[in-house]
Amino acid sequence: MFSGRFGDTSGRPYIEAQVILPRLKISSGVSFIVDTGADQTVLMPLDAVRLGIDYRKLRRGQNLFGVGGSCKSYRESALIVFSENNRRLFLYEIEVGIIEKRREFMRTRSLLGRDILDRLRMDYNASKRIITFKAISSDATIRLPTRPSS
Amino acid sequence: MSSRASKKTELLRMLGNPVRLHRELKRFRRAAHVLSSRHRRLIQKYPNQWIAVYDDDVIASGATLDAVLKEVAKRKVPQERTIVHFVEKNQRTMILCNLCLVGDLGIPADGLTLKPR
Repeated sequence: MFSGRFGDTSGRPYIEAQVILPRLKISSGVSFIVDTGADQTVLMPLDAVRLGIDYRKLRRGQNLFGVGGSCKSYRESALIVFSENNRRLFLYEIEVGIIEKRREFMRTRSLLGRDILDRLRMDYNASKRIITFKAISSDATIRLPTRPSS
Repeated sequence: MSSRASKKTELLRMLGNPVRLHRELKRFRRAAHVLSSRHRRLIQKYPNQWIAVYDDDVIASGATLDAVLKEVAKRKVPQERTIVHFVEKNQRTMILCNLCLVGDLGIPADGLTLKPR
């Protein structure tokens, strides 16, 4: 089981994961908004800029549509990794969408969509500010070495 | 080697050292949790400013994202373990639902145009 957090004053649910973009040789922590309404996981330009993603190297993806209208996206093979306490890592291999750089998107956090959420069980308790996840399936699970007891 | 085993080997190769990755993710989570646990204080100190948090500390703040990222780079702090955030004084209401492919909706890629009758 791994846990997320409820954000600041907005109360939005977040979860942190390691995002690996092998082709671009990028590996970085990303804080995602848990969004069951998003069909796919996307990196918003705030994270793309922080990660040093060069948009010129990206492959054009399809246009995406949200409440604010449509926007251009790029696609990249990615590995999304969650860590369960000090015990296991869960790996998900996906095509992540990378949203075009636009001023109105710069303050928005990246979204963890149903391509991953469908493979997790979520326990969402906003009143107690607890959000936990249990992996139903993953592309790989890695058991972390336990520290020898002293 | 079975295709499942070879896929796992490939994923592990992409992952690198799992212990190091776990440690890095743990540090990043600690920085992210600062945004939740100290948000009220952050609003008081950095209203409507960009901030960068590394480990438990705000290491840079400024009016623009570029300025904050430059400061992070100047301090030689690993950007992959730094969380960057805009501290909004007045909370925006965001509706993020239904992010899907435009094609799935039958909407042309360049959007809809209403024709006058």
